Amino acid sequence: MLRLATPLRSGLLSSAIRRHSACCGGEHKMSEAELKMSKLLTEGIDGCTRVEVHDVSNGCGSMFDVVVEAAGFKGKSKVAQHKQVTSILREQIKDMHGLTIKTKAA
Amino acid sequence: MLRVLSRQAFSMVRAANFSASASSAGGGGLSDEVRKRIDGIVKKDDVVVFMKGTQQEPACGFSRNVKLVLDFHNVKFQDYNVLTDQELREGVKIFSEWPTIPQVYVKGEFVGGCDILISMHKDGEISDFLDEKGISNKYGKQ
Repeated sequence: MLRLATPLRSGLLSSAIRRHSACCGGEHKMSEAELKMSKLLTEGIDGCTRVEVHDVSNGCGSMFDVVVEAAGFKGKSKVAQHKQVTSILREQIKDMHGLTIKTKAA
Repeated sequence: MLRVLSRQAFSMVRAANFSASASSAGGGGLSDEVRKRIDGIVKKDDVVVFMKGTQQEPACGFSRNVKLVLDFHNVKFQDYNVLTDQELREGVKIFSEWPTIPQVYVKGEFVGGCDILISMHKDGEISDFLDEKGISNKYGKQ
């Protein structure tokens, strides 16, 4: 447990810091990559009510969190929802180190 | 806590495998023989998991997390260790059009990987899903 505790704690802290810096209100300006992906998702999925793309690699452009809520997801399984997102971002994903996706039917 | 750690690490695995999957898919896709083999496997048992390692000894955190969710809900499943079978390892990604391992199938249908299973577990919808599929589970109605 001691071995687990340390990396866990540091992971949590750095994760929180990254998320916070990416989400700071008026100060934060979306990066080019974030804007492009948001646009692709908004255009590619019907009835988007929420699209969030966060670079969680402190601007390096290698790790992203994506959250999408859309009416178009209604009746679709989570697998189908995730596949739609990964399909739309296929070209961007090739350059990424990592990506997490969260989807919800609006 | 575990969620944050596994989530980050999972991302890294996901993207890397996605690239590999994309290039291998470009090479002509799945042979009929392999497709039939996988199709037979996912229909043979009610719940099938393609994982790294075995359910007794998972070899990666994400395969382990899938096992933990299924064990938590008392769901019996058949495991297939892709580390000992490269054909399966690459084949299931094309078969399901899903870039990462582990992969979970229920009654022959691909359900998702680690992140989706954890999401279903946390949202509380996994019991309803399993009931719907006729799979016995801890919090189910059956």
